[in-house]
Amino acid sequence: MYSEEEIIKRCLNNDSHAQEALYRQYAPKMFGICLRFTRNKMEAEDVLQDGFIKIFTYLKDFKNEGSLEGWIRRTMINTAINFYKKKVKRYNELNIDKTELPDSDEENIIDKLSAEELLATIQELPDGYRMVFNLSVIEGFTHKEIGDILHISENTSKSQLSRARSTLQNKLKKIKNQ
Amino acid sequence: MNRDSKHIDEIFRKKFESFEVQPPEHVWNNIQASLSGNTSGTLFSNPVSLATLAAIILIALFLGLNVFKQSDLPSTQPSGFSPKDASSSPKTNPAQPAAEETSVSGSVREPDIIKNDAVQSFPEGPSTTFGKHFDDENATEKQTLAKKTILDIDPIGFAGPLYSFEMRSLPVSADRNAGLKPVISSHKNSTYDMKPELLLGLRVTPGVMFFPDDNIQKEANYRVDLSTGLQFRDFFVETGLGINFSKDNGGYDYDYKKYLGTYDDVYQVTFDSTENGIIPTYHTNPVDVYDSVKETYVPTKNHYTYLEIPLYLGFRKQVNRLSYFVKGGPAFALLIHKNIPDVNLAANDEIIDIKKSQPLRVNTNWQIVLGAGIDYRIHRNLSLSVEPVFRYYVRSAYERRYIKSRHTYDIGLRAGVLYNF
Repeated sequence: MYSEEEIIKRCLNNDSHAQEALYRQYAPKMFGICLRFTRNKMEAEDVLQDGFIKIFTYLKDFKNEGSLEGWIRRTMINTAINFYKKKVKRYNELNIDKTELPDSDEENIIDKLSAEELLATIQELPDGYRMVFNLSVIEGFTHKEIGDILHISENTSKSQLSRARSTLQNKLKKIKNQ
Repeated sequence: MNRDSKHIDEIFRKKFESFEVQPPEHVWNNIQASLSGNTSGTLFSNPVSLATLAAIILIALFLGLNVFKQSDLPSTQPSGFSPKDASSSPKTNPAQPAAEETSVSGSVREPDIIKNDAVQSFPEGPSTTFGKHFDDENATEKQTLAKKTILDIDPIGFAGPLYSFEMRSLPVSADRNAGLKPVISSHKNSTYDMKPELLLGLRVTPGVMFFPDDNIQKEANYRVDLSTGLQFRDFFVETGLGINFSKDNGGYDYDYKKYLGTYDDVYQVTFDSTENGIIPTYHTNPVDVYDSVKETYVPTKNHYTYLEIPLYLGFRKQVNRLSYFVKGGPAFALLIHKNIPDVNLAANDEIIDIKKSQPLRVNTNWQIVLGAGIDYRIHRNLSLSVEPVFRYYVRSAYERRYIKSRHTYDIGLRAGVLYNF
Protein backbone atom coordinates (compact mmCIF):
# COMPACT_ATOMS: atom_id res chain seq x y z
CA MET A 1 0.00 0.00 0.00
CA TYR A 2 1.41 3.31 -1.10
CA SER A 3 1.07 6.61 0.71
CA GLU A 4 -0.56 9.39 -1.30
CA GLU A 5 2.78 11.12 -1.83
CA GLU A 6 4.39 7.88 -2.91
CA ILE A 7 1.56 7.18 -5.37
CA ILE A 8 1.90 10.63 -6.92
CA LYS A 9 5.65 10.28 -7.18
CA ARG A 10 5.38 6.87 -8.81
CA CYS A 11 2.61 7.99 -11.14
CA LEU A 12 4.80 10.86 -12.29
CA ASN A 13 7.41 8.24 -13.19
CA ASN A 14 4.75 6.40 -15.21
CA ASP A 15 4.67 3.47 -12.83
CA SER A 16 1.67 1.53 -14.09
CA HIS A 17 1.09 -0.21 -10.74
CA ALA A 18 0.84 3.13 -8.98
CA GLN A 19 -1.46 4.46 -11.71
CA GLU A 20 -3.70 1.47 -11.25
CA ALA A 21 -3.64 1.87 -7.46
CA LEU A 22 -4.65 5.51 -7.81
CA TYR A 23 -7.39 4.59 -10.25
CA ARG A 24 -8.74 1.80 -8.06
CA GLN A 25 -8.80 4.10 -5.07
CA TYR A 26 -10.75 6.93 -6.65
CA ALA A 27 -12.57 5.42 -9.62
CA PRO A 28 -15.75 4.28 -7.77
CA LYS A 29 -16.35 7.72 -6.28
CA MET A 30 -15.48 9.50 -9.53
CA PHE A 31 -17.72 7.17 -11.50
CA GLY A 32 -20.55 8.15 -9.16
CA ILE A 33 -19.88 11.79 -10.03
CA CYS A 34 -19.67 11.03 -13.74
CA LEU A 35 -23.01 9.24 -13.59
CA ARG A 36 -24.61 12.31 -12.06
CA PHE A 37 -23.28 14.61 -14.74
CA THR A 38 -24.14 12.38 -17.67
CA ARG A 39 -27.25 10.85 -19.12
CA ASN A 40 -26.24 7.23 -18.99
CA LYS A 41 -23.60 4.74 -18.01
CA MET A 42 -21.92 4.77 -21.39
CA GLU A 43 -21.35 8.51 -21.32
CA ALA A 44 -20.20 8.27 -17.73
CA GLU A 45 -17.61 5.69 -18.73
CA ASP A 46 -16.35 8.00 -21.45
CA VAL A 47 -16.05 10.91 -19.04
CA LEU A 48 -14.35 8.74 -16.42
CA GLN A 49 -11.87 7.50 -18.99
CA ASP A 50 -11.09 10.98 -20.31
CA GLY A 51 -10.93 12.34 -16.81
CA PHE A 52 -8.37 9.81 -15.59
CA ILE A 53 -6.25 10.25 -18.69
CA LYS A 54 -6.18 13.99 -17.91
CA ILE A 55 -5.43 13.26 -14.28
CA PHE A 56 -2.42 11.12 -15.13
CA THR A 57 -1.28 13.53 -17.84
CA TYR A 58 -1.47 16.63 -15.68
CA LEU A 59 -0.66 15.13 -12.30
CA LYS A 60 2.59 17.08 -12.41
CA ASP A 61 0.49 20.24 -12.09
CA PHE A 62 -0.95 19.10 -8.77
CA LYS A 63 0.71 21.41 -6.26
CA ASN A 64 -0.16 19.62 -3.04
CA GLU A 65 -1.99 22.76 -2.04
CA GLY A 66 -5.25 20.94 -1.41
CA SER A 67 -6.26 17.33 -1.15
CA LEU A 68 -5.55 15.02 -4.05
CA GLU A 69 -9.13 13.82 -4.00
CA GLY A 70 -10.37 17.38 -4.32
CA TRP A 71 -8.11 17.96 -7.31
CA ILE A 72 -9.18 14.70 -8.94
CA ARG A 73 -12.81 15.53 -8.28
CA ARG A 74 -12.46 18.98 -9.83
CA THR A 75 -10.69 17.53 -12.86
CA MET A 76 -13.45 14.99 -13.29
CA ILE A 77 -16.17 17.64 -13.02
CA ASN A 78 -14.33 19.82 -15.54
CA THR A 79 -14.10 16.85 -17.89
CA ALA A 80 -17.83 16.23 -17.53
CA ILE A 81 -18.56 19.90 -18.19
CA ASN A 82 -16.29 19.96 -21.26
CA PHE A 83 -18.00 16.81 -22.47
CA TYR A 84 -21.30 18.67 -22.56
CA LYS A 85 -19.85 21.93 -23.81
CA LYS A 86 -18.99 20.05 -26.96
CA LYS A 87 -22.54 18.83 -27.24
CA VAL A 88 -24.54 21.80 -26.08
CA LYS A 89 -23.84 24.76 -28.28
CA ARG A 90 -25.73 27.18 -26.16
CA TYR A 91 -27.82 27.18 -23.08
CA ASN A 92 -31.24 28.64 -23.44
CA GLU A 93 -31.60 31.86 -21.57
CA LEU A 94 -34.51 31.30 -19.28
CA ASN A 95 -36.38 33.61 -17.05
CA ILE A 96 -36.42 32.79 -13.42
CA ASP A 97 -39.64 31.02 -12.75
CA LYS A 98 -41.34 30.88 -9.50
CA THR A 99 -40.55 27.46 -8.20
CA GLU A 100 -43.17 25.56 -6.40
CA LEU A 101 -42.28 25.09 -2.81
CA PRO A 102 -41.62 21.47 -2.04
CA ASP A 103 -43.97 20.08 0.50
CA SER A 104 -43.07 17.79 3.33
CA ASP A 105 -44.29 14.75 1.34
CA GLU A 106 -41.64 15.36 -1.29
CA GLU A 107 -38.98 15.58 1.36
CA ASN A 108 -40.10 12.21 2.63
CA ILE A 109 -40.03 10.73 -0.86
CA ILE A 110 -36.52 12.02 -1.51
CA ASP A 111 -35.42 10.70 1.85
CA LYS A 112 -36.84 7.27 1.13
CA LEU A 113 -35.39 6.98 -2.38
CA SER A 114 -31.98 5.39 -2.80
CA ALA A 115 -29.11 7.26 -4.40
CA GLU A 116 -29.52 5.08 -7.49
CA GLU A 117 -33.17 6.07 -7.82
CA LEU A 118 -32.38 9.73 -7.38
CA LEU A 119 -29.56 9.34 -9.88
CA ALA A 120 -32.04 8.03 -12.44
CA THR A 121 -34.22 11.13 -12.03
CA ILE A 122 -31.21 13.43 -12.28
CA GLN A 123 -30.00 11.67 -15.40
CA GLU A 124 -33.35 12.30 -17.03
CA LEU A 125 -32.94 16.06 -16.65
CA PRO A 126 -32.01 18.04 -19.75
CA ASP A 127 -28.25 18.57 -20.03
CA GLY A 128 -28.22 22.22 -18.95
CA TYR A 129 -30.46 21.63 -15.96
CA ARG A 130 -28.44 18.66 -14.88
CA MET A 131 -25.15 20.56 -15.07
CA VAL A 132 -26.41 23.45 -13.02
CA PHE A 133 -28.22 21.24 -10.53
CA ASN A 134 -25.13 19.12 -9.92
CA LEU A 135 -22.79 22.08 -9.68
CA SER A 136 -25.07 24.08 -7.43
CA VAL A 137 -26.84 21.56 -5.23
CA ILE A 138 -24.33 18.74 -4.91
CA GLU A 139 -21.00 20.43 -5.54
CA GLY A 140 -21.88 23.70 -3.83
CA PHE A 141 -20.76 26.17 -6.49
CA THR A 142 -22.25 29.65 -6.44
CA HIS A 143 -24.25 30.90 -9.42
CA LYS A 144 -21.43 33.25 -10.28
CA GLU A 145 -18.96 30.37 -10.35
CA ILE A 146 -21.35 28.25 -12.38
CA GLY A 147 -21.79 31.13 -14.80
CA ASP A 148 -18.02 31.35 -15.24
CA ILE A 149 -17.65 27.61 -15.67
CA LEU A 150 -20.47 27.15 -18.16
CA HIS A 151 -20.06 30.55 -19.83
CA ILE A 152 -23.59 31.58 -18.97
CA SER A 153 -24.94 34.47 -17.00
CA GLU A 154 -25.61 34.26 -13.30
CA ASN A 155 -29.33 34.69 -13.98
CA THR A 156 -29.32 31.84 -16.46
CA SER A 157 -27.69 29.65 -13.88
CA LYS A 158 -30.40 30.55 -11.40
CA SER A 159 -33.17 29.91 -13.89
CA GLN A 160 -31.66 26.60 -14.93
CA LEU A 161 -31.54 25.53 -11.30
CA SER A 162 -35.08 26.67 -10.79
CA ARG A 163 -36.23 24.67 -13.79
CA ALA A 164 -34.20 21.70 -12.71
CA ARG A 165 -35.84 21.71 -9.31
CA SER A 166 -39.26 22.06 -10.85
CA THR A 167 -38.63 19.17 -13.23
CA LEU A 168 -37.32 17.02 -10.43
CA GLN A 169 -40.36 17.79 -8.32
CA ASN A 170 -42.64 16.69 -11.12
CA LYS A 171 -40.72 13.48 -11.51
CA LEU A 172 -40.82 12.86 -7.77
CA LYS A 173 -44.56 13.49 -7.75
CA LYS A 174 -44.94 10.83 -10.41
CA ILE A 175 -42.93 8.42 -8.30
CA LYS A 176 -45.11 9.31 -5.31
CA ASN A 177 -48.27 8.57 -7.27
CA GLN A 178 -47.03 5.22 -8.51
CA MET B 1 -33.61 30.35 -1.80
CA ASN B 2 -36.15 29.29 0.72
CA ARG B 3 -35.56 27.07 3.70
CA ASP B 4 -37.40 24.07 2.21
CA SER B 5 -35.28 24.12 -0.91
CA LYS B 6 -32.18 24.18 1.20
CA HIS B 7 -33.44 21.19 3.08
CA ILE B 8 -34.13 19.25 -0.12
CA ASP B 9 -30.69 20.20 -1.40
CA GLU B 10 -29.21 18.93 1.83
CA ILE B 11 -30.95 15.58 1.39
CA PHE B 12 -29.64 15.29 -2.18
CA ARG B 13 -26.15 16.24 -1.04
CA LYS B 14 -26.22 13.67 1.73
CA LYS B 15 -27.47 10.93 -0.56
CA PHE B 16 -24.61 11.51 -2.99
CA GLU B 17 -21.93 12.27 -0.43
CA SER B 18 -20.61 8.75 -0.31
CA PHE B 19 -22.21 7.52 -3.52
CA GLU B 20 -19.85 5.12 -5.27
CA VAL B 21 -20.27 2.85 -8.26
CA GLN B 22 -17.66 0.40 -9.42
CA PRO B 23 -16.84 1.20 -13.05
CA PRO B 24 -16.51 -1.65 -15.57
CA GLU B 25 -13.07 -3.18 -15.94
CA HIS B 26 -12.67 -2.20 -19.58
CA VAL B 27 -12.47 1.48 -18.59
CA TRP B 28 -9.18 0.88 -16.83
CA ASN B 29 -7.95 -1.20 -19.77
CA ASN B 30 -8.69 1.71 -22.10
CA ILE B 31 -7.00 4.20 -19.80
CA GLN B 32 -3.95 1.99 -19.48
CA ALA B 33 -3.81 1.52 -23.24
CA SER B 34 -4.07 5.27 -23.81
CA LEU B 35 -1.36 5.99 -21.29
CA SER B 36 0.99 3.49 -22.85
CA GLY B 37 0.47 4.96 -26.30
CA ASN B 38 -2.12 2.48 -27.41
CA THR B 39 -5.58 3.67 -28.09
CA SER B 40 -8.03 0.90 -27.63
CA GLY B 41 -6.76 -1.75 -25.35
CA THR B 42 -4.34 -4.48 -26.09
CA LEU B 43 -4.92 -6.97 -28.82
CA PHE B 44 -5.54 -9.85 -26.48
CA SER B 45 -7.47 -7.95 -23.81
CA ASN B 46 -10.76 -8.91 -25.41
CA PRO B 47 -11.42 -12.65 -25.17
CA VAL B 48 -14.11 -12.53 -27.85
CA SER B 49 -11.68 -10.96 -30.32
CA LEU B 50 -9.06 -13.48 -29.42
CA ALA B 51 -11.44 -16.43 -29.76
CA THR B 52 -12.74 -15.26 -33.13
CA LEU B 53 -9.25 -14.62 -34.42
CA ALA B 54 -8.21 -18.07 -33.27
CA ALA B 55 -11.25 -19.55 -35.02
CA ILE B 56 -10.39 -17.79 -38.27
CA ILE B 57 -6.79 -18.98 -38.12
CA LEU B 58 -7.88 -22.54 -37.36
CA ILE B 59 -10.36 -22.58 -40.22
CA ALA B 60 -7.74 -21.14 -42.56
CA LEU B 61 -5.23 -23.77 -41.45
CA PHE B 62 -7.80 -26.50 -41.81
CA LEU B 63 -8.66 -25.42 -45.32
CA GLY B 64 -5.01 -25.02 -46.19
CA LEU B 65 -4.13 -28.49 -44.93
CA ASN B 66 -6.96 -30.02 -46.90
CA VAL B 67 -5.86 -28.24 -50.02
CA PHE B 68 -2.36 -29.59 -49.60
CA LYS B 69 -3.73 -33.06 -49.01
CA GLN B 70 -5.75 -32.74 -52.14
CA SER B 71 -2.94 -31.38 -54.27
CA ASP B 72 -0.70 -34.15 -52.95
CA LEU B 73 -3.17 -36.81 -53.96
CA PRO B 74 -1.65 -37.93 -57.25
CA SER B 75 1.84 -37.90 -55.79
CA THR B 76 0.83 -39.84 -52.70
CA GLN B 77 0.31 -42.74 -55.02
CA PRO B 78 3.23 -44.17 -56.90
CA SER B 79 3.77 -42.33 -60.16
CA GLY B 80 2.66 -45.40 -61.98
CA PHE B 81 -0.52 -45.50 -60.00
CA SER B 82 -3.13 -47.84 -61.24
CA PRO B 83 -6.09 -49.56 -59.74
CA LYS B 84 -3.95 -52.64 -59.59
CA ASP B 85 -1.37 -50.76 -57.62
CA ALA B 86 -4.04 -49.32 -55.49
CA SER B 87 -5.38 -52.71 -54.66
CA SER B 88 -2.01 -54.05 -53.74
CA SER B 89 -0.82 -51.02 -51.86
CA PRO B 90 -1.30 -50.97 -48.10
CA LYS B 91 -4.58 -49.51 -47.02
CA THR B 92 -4.49 -46.51 -44.77
CA ASN B 93 -7.72 -47.64 -43.25
CA PRO B 94 -7.17 -51.05 -41.76
CA ALA B 95 -10.79 -51.29 -40.80
CA GLN B 96 -11.85 -51.84 -44.39
CA PRO B 97 -13.23 -55.35 -44.89
CA ALA B 98 -10.99 -57.62 -46.92
CA ALA B 99 -13.86 -58.93 -49.00
CA GLU B 100 -14.69 -55.48 -50.25
CA GLU B 101 -11.08 -54.90 -51.21
CA THR B 102 -11.01 -58.03 -53.29
CA SER B 103 -14.22 -57.23 -54.99
CA VAL B 104 -13.21 -53.70 -55.85
CA SER B 105 -9.71 -54.37 -56.94
CA GLY B 106 -10.82 -57.28 -59.00
CA SER B 107 -13.14 -55.18 -61.02
CA VAL B 108 -10.58 -52.50 -61.59
CA ARG B 109 -8.11 -54.86 -63.12
CA GLU B 110 -10.38 -55.39 -66.09
CA PRO B 111 -8.51 -53.92 -69.07
CA ASP B 112 -11.49 -53.85 -71.41
CA ILE B 113 -13.15 -51.04 -69.51
CA ILE B 114 -10.58 -48.60 -70.83
CA LYS B 115 -11.73 -46.96 -73.98
CA ASN B 116 -9.29 -44.10 -74.26
CA ASP B 117 -6.62 -45.70 -76.39
CA ALA B 118 -4.61 -42.55 -76.64
CA VAL B 119 -3.97 -42.67 -72.98
CA GLN B 120 -3.29 -46.37 -73.04
CA SER B 121 -0.73 -46.00 -75.76
CA PHE B 122 1.84 -44.00 -73.81
CA PRO B 123 4.86 -46.10 -74.45
CA GLU B 124 6.71 -45.28 -71.28
CA GLY B 125 3.72 -44.03 -69.42
CA PRO B 126 2.48 -45.81 -66.40
CA SER B 127 -0.66 -47.75 -66.35
CA THR B 128 -3.21 -45.34 -64.96
CA THR B 129 -6.88 -44.72 -64.69
CA PHE B 130 -6.46 -41.02 -65.38
CA GLY B 131 -8.29 -39.92 -68.45
CA LYS B 132 -10.17 -43.14 -68.78
CA HIS B 133 -13.88 -43.45 -69.01
CA PHE B 134 -15.67 -46.37 -67.63
CA ASP B 135 -18.31 -48.12 -69.54
CA ASP B 136 -21.73 -48.13 -68.07
CA GLU B 137 -21.77 -51.60 -66.67
CA ASN B 138 -18.64 -51.06 -64.67
CA ALA B 139 -19.37 -47.52 -63.65
CA THR B 140 -20.96 -48.39 -60.36
CA GLU B 141 -18.04 -50.50 -59.33
CA LYS B 142 -15.59 -47.81 -60.32
CA GLN B 143 -17.45 -45.23 -58.36
CA THR B 144 -17.35 -47.59 -55.41
CA LEU B 145 -13.61 -47.81 -55.82
CA ALA B 146 -13.25 -44.07 -56.10
CA LYS B 147 -15.29 -43.49 -53.00
CA LYS B 148 -13.42 -46.15 -51.13
CA THR B 149 -10.14 -44.59 -52.14
CA ILE B 150 -11.36 -41.28 -50.84
CA LEU B 151 -12.26 -42.79 -47.53
CA ASP B 152 -8.89 -44.44 -47.33
CA ILE B 153 -6.92 -41.29 -47.89
CA ASP B 154 -9.08 -39.02 -45.84
CA PRO B 155 -8.13 -39.58 -42.22
CA ILE B 156 -10.27 -36.76 -40.89
CA GLY B 157 -13.38 -37.91 -42.62
CA PHE B 158 -14.03 -34.64 -44.32
CA ALA B 159 -14.68 -36.34 -47.59
CA GLY B 160 -18.30 -36.33 -48.47
CA PRO B 161 -20.47 -35.78 -51.45
CA LEU B 162 -18.97 -32.34 -51.95
CA TYR B 163 -15.43 -33.48 -51.48
CA SER B 164 -14.98 -36.47 -53.65
CA PHE B 165 -11.71 -36.94 -55.41
CA GLU B 166 -13.02 -38.32 -58.67
CA MET B 167 -9.73 -39.53 -59.97
CA ARG B 168 -11.20 -41.65 -62.71
CA SER B 169 -12.75 -38.73 -64.51
CA LEU B 170 -9.67 -36.57 -64.88
CA PRO B 171 -8.33 -36.43 -68.41
CA VAL B 172 -4.59 -36.58 -68.80
CA SER B 173 -2.38 -34.04 -70.44
CA ALA B 174 -0.84 -35.43 -73.57
CA ASP B 175 2.32 -33.43 -73.14
CA ARG B 176 4.86 -36.18 -72.65
CA ASN B 177 7.64 -33.80 -71.74
CA ALA B 178 5.61 -32.38 -68.97
CA GLY B 179 4.85 -35.78 -67.61
CA LEU B 180 1.54 -37.18 -66.73
CA LYS B 181 -0.73 -34.47 -65.40
CA PRO B 182 -4.35 -34.64 -64.58
CA VAL B 183 -6.34 -31.88 -66.18
CA ILE B 184 -8.97 -30.49 -63.91
CA SER B 185 -12.24 -30.10 -65.59
CA SER B 186 -14.03 -26.81 -65.21
CA HIS B 187 -17.46 -28.31 -65.60
CA LYS B 188 -18.71 -27.53 -62.20
CA ASN B 189 -22.02 -29.18 -62.71
CA SER B 190 -20.57 -32.48 -63.73
CA THR B 191 -21.09 -35.23 -61.24
CA TYR B 192 -17.52 -36.24 -61.92
CA ASP B 193 -16.00 -32.93 -60.86
CA MET B 194 -16.87 -32.34 -57.26
CA LYS B 195 -13.33 -31.61 -56.31
CA PRO B 196 -12.82 -28.28 -54.51
CA GLU B 197 -10.92 -25.75 -56.52
CA LEU B 198 -8.12 -23.76 -54.92
CA LEU B 199 -8.09 -20.07 -55.73
CA LEU B 200 -5.35 -17.56 -55.06
CA GLY B 201 -6.00 -13.87 -55.50
CA LEU B 202 -4.03 -10.65 -55.45
CA ARG B 203 -6.20 -7.56 -55.29
CA VAL B 204 -6.21 -3.89 -54.43
CA THR B 205 -9.14 -2.00 -52.95
CA PRO B 206 -9.32 1.76 -53.05
CA GLY B 207 -12.05 2.79 -50.66
CA VAL B 208 -13.64 5.57 -48.68
CA MET B 209 -14.52 5.40 -45.02
CA PHE B 210 -17.61 7.31 -43.99
CA PHE B 211 -18.51 8.74 -40.61
CA PRO B 212 -22.04 9.47 -39.53
CA ASP B 213 -20.80 12.68 -37.92
CA ASP B 214 -20.72 16.16 -39.43
CA ASN B 215 -17.46 17.04 -37.75
CA ILE B 216 -15.46 14.31 -39.36
CA GLN B 217 -14.84 14.08 -43.05
CA LYS B 218 -14.78 10.93 -45.05
CA GLU B 219 -11.32 9.52 -45.47
CA ALA B 220 -9.74 7.57 -48.32
CA ASN B 221 -7.89 4.35 -47.76
CA TYR B 222 -6.25 1.61 -49.79
CA ARG B 223 -6.02 -2.09 -49.31
CA VAL B 224 -3.78 -4.73 -50.85
CA ASP B 225 -4.64 -8.31 -50.10
CA LEU B 226 -3.51 -11.80 -50.91
CA SER B 227 -6.37 -14.23 -50.64
CA THR B 228 -6.82 -17.94 -50.81
CA GLY B 229 -10.10 -19.73 -51.25
CA LEU B 230 -11.72 -23.03 -51.89
CA GLN B 231 -14.60 -23.46 -54.26
CA PHE B 232 -17.00 -26.30 -53.45
CA ARG B 233 -19.36 -26.51 -56.36
CA ASP B 234 -21.12 -23.14 -56.27
CA PHE B 235 -19.97 -22.21 -52.80
CA PHE B 236 -16.64 -20.92 -51.68
CA VAL B 237 -14.69 -20.08 -48.56
CA GLU B 238 -12.11 -17.33 -48.69
CA THR B 239 -9.48 -16.05 -46.30
CA GLY B 240 -6.13 -14.35 -46.61
CA LEU B 241 -4.03 -11.45 -45.46
CA GLY B 242 -4.49 -7.82 -46.35
CA ILE B 243 -2.75 -4.56 -45.58
CA ASN B 244 -4.88 -1.46 -45.18
CA PHE B 245 -3.26 1.95 -45.56
CA SER B 246 -5.39 4.72 -44.08
CA LYS B 247 -4.82 8.43 -43.72
CA ASP B 248 -6.74 10.94 -41.63
CA ASN B 249 -6.79 14.69 -41.76
CA GLY B 250 -6.18 15.12 -38.06
CA GLY B 251 -5.28 18.10 -35.96
CA TYR B 252 -4.87 19.49 -32.51
CA ASP B 253 -6.90 22.13 -30.72
CA TYR B 254 -4.82 23.33 -27.86
CA ASP B 255 -4.27 26.07 -25.34
CA TYR B 256 -0.71 26.73 -24.33
CA LYS B 257 1.48 28.99 -22.31
CA LYS B 258 3.80 30.93 -24.55
CA TYR B 259 7.10 31.62 -22.89
CA LEU B 260 7.90 35.36 -22.92
CA GLY B 261 10.98 35.43 -20.75
CA THR B 262 11.70 36.09 -17.10
CA TYR B 263 11.54 38.89 -14.64
CA ASP B 264 13.41 39.22 -11.38
CA ASP B 265 11.16 38.84 -8.43
CA VAL B 266 12.45 40.76 -5.40
CA TYR B 267 11.99 38.60 -2.38
CA GLN B 268 14.19 40.56 0.05
CA VAL B 269 15.77 43.98 0.32
CA THR B 270 18.69 44.59 2.64
CA PHE B 271 20.34 47.89 3.43
CA ASP B 272 24.03 48.36 3.99
CA SER B 273 25.55 51.44 5.50
CA THR B 274 28.51 52.66 3.51
CA GLU B 275 30.58 55.80 3.37
CA ASN B 276 28.28 56.96 0.64
CA GLY B 277 25.22 56.39 2.71
CA ILE B 278 22.74 53.56 2.93
CA ILE B 279 22.70 51.33 -0.13
CA PRO B 280 19.85 48.88 -0.66
CA THR B 281 20.55 45.40 -2.00
CA TYR B 282 17.73 43.65 -3.85
CA HIS B 283 17.66 39.87 -3.61
CA THR B 284 15.81 38.43 -6.55
CA ASN B 285 14.69 35.22 -8.11
CA PRO B 286 14.07 34.88 -11.82
CA VAL B 287 10.43 34.12 -12.56
CA ASP B 288 9.24 32.75 -15.89
CA VAL B 289 6.61 34.80 -17.66
CA TYR B 290 4.07 33.17 -19.92
CA ASP B 291 1.26 34.42 -22.04
CA SER B 292 -1.79 32.19 -22.36
CA VAL B 293 -2.57 31.45 -25.98
CA LYS B 294 -5.95 29.85 -26.45
CA GLU B 295 -7.59 27.80 -29.13
CA THR B 296 -4.63 27.24 -31.39
CA TYR B 297 -5.18 24.78 -34.19
CA VAL B 298 -2.55 22.74 -35.94
CA PRO B 299 -3.54 20.34 -38.74
CA THR B 300 -1.81 16.98 -39.03
CA LYS B 301 -1.84 13.95 -41.29
CA ASN B 302 -2.30 10.76 -39.35
CA HIS B 303 -1.25 7.54 -41.03
CA TYR B 304 -2.36 4.06 -39.98
CA THR B 305 -1.48 0.64 -41.34
CA TYR B 306 -3.60 -2.37 -40.46
CA LEU B 307 -3.12 -6.06 -41.04
CA GLU B 308 -6.47 -7.58 -41.96
CA ILE B 309 -7.58 -11.20 -41.83
CA PRO B 310 -10.96 -11.93 -43.40
CA LEU B 311 -13.06 -15.05 -43.54
CA TYR B 312 -15.76 -15.01 -46.19
CA LEU B 313 -18.37 -17.47 -47.26
CA GLY B 314 -19.82 -16.99 -50.69
CA PHE B 315 -21.76 -18.24 -53.65
CA ARG B 316 -20.30 -18.18 -57.15
CA LYS B 317 -22.04 -19.12 -60.36
CA GLN B 318 -20.15 -19.60 -63.56
CA VAL B 319 -21.51 -18.84 -67.01
CA ASN B 320 -18.87 -19.60 -69.63
CA ARG B 321 -15.95 -17.27 -68.97
CA LEU B 322 -17.87 -15.11 -66.60
CA SER B 323 -18.74 -15.92 -63.06
CA TYR B 324 -20.60 -13.78 -60.61
CA PHE B 325 -20.56 -14.06 -56.91
CA VAL B 326 -21.76 -12.73 -53.59
CA LYS B 327 -19.98 -13.20 -50.31
CA GLY B 328 -19.84 -12.03 -46.76
CA GLY B 329 -18.13 -12.59 -43.48
CA PRO B 330 -16.10 -11.07 -40.67
CA ALA B 331 -12.70 -9.45 -40.98
CA PHE B 332 -10.31 -8.74 -38.17
CA ALA B 333 -7.97 -5.74 -38.38
CA LEU B 334 -4.86 -5.22 -36.28
CA LEU B 335 -3.01 -1.91 -36.21
CA ILE B 336 0.62 -2.63 -37.07
CA HIS B 337 1.90 0.89 -37.61
CA LYS B 338 0.80 4.44 -37.01
CA ASN B 339 2.34 7.82 -37.52
CA ILE B 340 0.69 10.69 -35.67
CA PRO B 341 2.73 13.89 -35.63
CA ASP B 342 3.12 15.68 -32.29
CA VAL B 343 2.50 19.34 -31.60
CA ASN B 344 5.75 21.23 -32.01
CA LEU B 345 6.12 23.89 -29.36
CA ALA B 346 9.05 26.10 -28.52
CA ALA B 347 11.23 24.62 -25.80
CA ASN B 348 9.80 26.62 -22.92
CA ASP B 349 6.19 26.74 -24.04
CA GLU B 350 3.78 24.60 -22.12
CA ILE B 351 0.56 22.93 -23.12
CA ILE B 352 -2.38 23.86 -20.93
CA ASP B 353 -5.00 21.77 -22.60
CA ILE B 354 -4.96 19.79 -25.78
CA LYS B 355 -7.64 18.04 -27.77
CA LYS B 356 -7.36 16.10 -30.96
CA SER B 357 -9.72 17.45 -33.57
CA GLN B 358 -9.86 14.03 -35.17
CA PRO B 359 -10.14 10.97 -32.97
CA LEU B 360 -7.45 8.35 -33.14
CA ARG B 361 -8.14 5.00 -34.69
CA VAL B 362 -8.43 1.91 -32.56
CA ASN B 363 -5.77 -0.78 -32.41
CA THR B 364 -8.07 -3.60 -33.36
CA ASN B 365 -11.46 -3.72 -34.94
CA TRP B 366 -13.93 -6.12 -36.42
CA GLN B 367 -15.74 -5.55 -39.64
CA ILE B 368 -18.65 -7.25 -41.30
CA VAL B 369 -17.82 -7.36 -44.98
CA LEU B 370 -20.27 -7.82 -47.81
CA GLY B 371 -19.24 -8.04 -51.43
CA ALA B 372 -20.62 -8.91 -54.83
CA GLY B 373 -18.77 -8.99 -58.10
CA ILE B 374 -17.73 -10.73 -61.24
CA ASP B 375 -14.72 -12.74 -62.36
CA TYR B 376 -13.77 -12.93 -66.00
CA ARG B 377 -11.59 -15.86 -67.03
CA ILE B 378 -8.89 -14.63 -69.40
CA HIS B 379 -6.92 -17.85 -69.33
CA ARG B 380 -7.62 -21.37 -68.20
CA ASN B 381 -6.26 -20.59 -64.74
CA LEU B 382 -6.35 -16.84 -64.62
CA SER B 383 -9.27 -14.52 -64.03
CA LEU B 384 -9.78 -10.84 -63.56
CA SER B 385 -11.98 -9.96 -60.64
CA VAL B 386 -13.84 -6.83 -59.71
CA GLU B 387 -16.00 -6.45 -56.66
CA PRO B 388 -17.67 -3.56 -54.81
CA VAL B 389 -17.20 -4.13 -51.09
CA PHE B 390 -19.11 -2.75 -48.14
CA ARG B 391 -17.57 -2.85 -44.67
CA TYR B 392 -19.43 -2.16 -41.48
CA TYR B 393 -17.28 -1.62 -38.41
CA VAL B 394 -18.81 -3.56 -35.56
CA ARG B 395 -17.38 -1.13 -33.06
CA SER B 396 -16.21 2.17 -34.41
CA ALA B 397 -12.91 2.30 -36.25
CA TYR B 398 -12.21 5.28 -34.01
CA GLU B 399 -11.79 5.59 -30.30
CA ARG B 400 -15.10 5.09 -28.65
CA ARG B 401 -14.66 8.00 -26.29
CA TYR B 402 -14.85 10.33 -29.27
CA ILE B 403 -17.48 8.72 -31.37
CA LYS B 404 -20.34 7.54 -29.25
CA SER B 405 -22.38 4.60 -30.34
CA ARG B 406 -21.79 5.45 -33.95
CA HIS B 407 -20.37 3.10 -36.49
CA THR B 408 -18.12 3.86 -39.34
CA TYR B 409 -18.53 2.14 -42.64
CA ASP B 410 -16.46 1.79 -45.72
CA ILE B 411 -17.17 1.35 -49.39
CA GLY B 412 -14.47 0.17 -51.75
CA LEU B 413 -13.87 -1.36 -55.14
CA ARG B 414 -11.77 -4.50 -54.95
CA ALA B 415 -10.08 -5.49 -58.16
CA GLY B 416 -7.30 -7.85 -59.13
CA VAL B 417 -6.37 -11.23 -60.47
CA LEU B 418 -7.37 -14.73 -59.42
CA TYR B 419 -5.41 -17.86 -60.12
CA ASN B 420 -7.17 -21.20 -59.87
CA PHE B 421 -5.27 -24.47 -59.49
